[in-house]
Amino acid sequence: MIELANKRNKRALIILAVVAGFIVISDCAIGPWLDDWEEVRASLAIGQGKLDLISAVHSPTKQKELAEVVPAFEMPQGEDEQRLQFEVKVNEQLQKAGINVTNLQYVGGAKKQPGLSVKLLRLKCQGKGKFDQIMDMLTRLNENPGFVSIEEMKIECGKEKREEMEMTLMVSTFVQ
Amino acid sequence: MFGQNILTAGSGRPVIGYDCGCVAFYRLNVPAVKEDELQTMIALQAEALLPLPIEEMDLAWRVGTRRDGKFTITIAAARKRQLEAFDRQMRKYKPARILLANEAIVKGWQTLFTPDVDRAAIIYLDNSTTQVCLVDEGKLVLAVTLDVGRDDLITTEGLSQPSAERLVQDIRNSMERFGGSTAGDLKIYVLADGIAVERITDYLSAAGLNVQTSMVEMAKLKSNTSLCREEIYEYLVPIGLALMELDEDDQKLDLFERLRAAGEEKQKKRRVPSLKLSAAIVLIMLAAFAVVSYGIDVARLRKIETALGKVEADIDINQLEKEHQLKKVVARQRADVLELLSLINTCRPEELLLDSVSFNKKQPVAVTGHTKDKAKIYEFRKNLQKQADIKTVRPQSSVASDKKEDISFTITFIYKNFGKK
Repeated sequence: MIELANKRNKRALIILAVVAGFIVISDCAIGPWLDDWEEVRASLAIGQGKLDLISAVHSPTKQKELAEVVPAFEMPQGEDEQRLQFEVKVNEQLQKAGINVTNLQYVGGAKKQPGLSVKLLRLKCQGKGKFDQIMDMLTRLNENPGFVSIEEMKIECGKEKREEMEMTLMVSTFVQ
Repeated sequence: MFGQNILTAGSGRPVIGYDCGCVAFYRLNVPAVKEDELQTMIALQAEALLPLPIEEMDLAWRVGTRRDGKFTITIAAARKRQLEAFDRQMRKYKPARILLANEAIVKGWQTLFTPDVDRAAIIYLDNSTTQVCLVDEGKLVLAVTLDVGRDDLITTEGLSQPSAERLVQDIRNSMERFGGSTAGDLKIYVLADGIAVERITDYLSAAGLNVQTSMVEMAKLKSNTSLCREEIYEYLVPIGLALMELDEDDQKLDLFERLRAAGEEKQKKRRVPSLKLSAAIVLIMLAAFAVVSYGIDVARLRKIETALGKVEADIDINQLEKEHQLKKVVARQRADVLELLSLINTCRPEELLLDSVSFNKKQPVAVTGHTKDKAKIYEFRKNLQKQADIKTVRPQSSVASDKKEDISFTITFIYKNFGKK
């Protein structure tokens, strides 16, 4: 009986020692190790995301697709700088196309864009020109690095001379 | 002290013969009771007979026929330590069974020698010992090993008188132990090899022992064999072992049953891994898996960090991300108005002139024009509807001019995703 009791006590002590050892190891080694692993995995996810972005940006196919629609692009400046820079560029393009500009001014203030950190500013330009000059202007617009899109456009034939067309164009740009 | 005869059985595993020099044989008469009760009764009676405590001995018994409401039991007993030592020694041969050599002698005699009687004492002389066995109902019931062999008895000068006399005395003692008279009722057969043993038999007869020679009956050998009497005599124990192993119904005195069962159990345990071992293996594997996974993650992170370090030296990732995002937004928002004008022009019939085109990202495209033939307006609308990027073509107005006989019109339509409210 005594021998059996001793055996049981011995087994209980061994189990106790194993459990205690596990708790100590868990607290001192496994816990911090798991925390470290969690950090490693988080950093890995961020790093992988960055790599994916770089490979997407540098992917020749995607680059080509994007470049066909947006051949020139520059990150927007602060509102004051961007207002001036964009207006000057549009005016330059109108002049180059040979459009007789009658009005060039921003309409309204900069509007916040949902989900983006930039605002949208609209520039209205009115002028007269021949059809091919208007086409030239529209072609040149894509070369403007601040140009976002044509918000509104109206091309109307002249009342007296059909080839003398009136053009109303509302183009937009991003500002910080 | 220990002798061995090894013979490979049909299974490919050998059968080993255990020399009976260290085996004590006893005969008991116990009441005819049930088998489980019989076991207890035999153990109790044997305890009184054994020279050592029963814990130190291994027993094997065979139940004989029932006579007068009692069973005659034959017991073979040997020291556990000696059996274990022999078993360990023989383990390398992986034996199918270890049987008593004396039982093999009796089996061989029963099968190959004459005369075939139910109760007799047989004497088998090998080189160094003489086996004296009492056979009852064709089975070994008692056995004695004498320390006189053929080599002691037959010398170059002939029969050794002192050794022969010692043999006579030992046989007399054995017969007394067997419970028979030395010259009377119990038949004693000396197994003969055809050459040397006959001289010993003659000496024993002359000494007053009722002995007869028992020869191998060659006619009993069914197969054509080139074995002669001397060879069969020489290999009687291996032949007897083979005969015993082949006879599955034969009830054997198996002193090694406990050790064999323990060995099989051990092997079974070795084959089936314990739950604790399985759990330990699973835990170790999980730990190894975690460590390897962690190592792979760290290595991947280092690799990515190295790659990013090189790239980040040249570009600002955050700036790049913003720029890429804005570019995608611009690409989505930018309408290709040149393509729109080109489409409208393609759809326009020759005698239809356009006066204005109006595009607004939030409204349908509006086209105004004039023509002298109203059918041209329909044609224009039809052509527009055919274009994949143009949908919902609607005429807004169609007015005839008094002076010029022209019809002015306005048509609206949706271009791609622009103009949808």
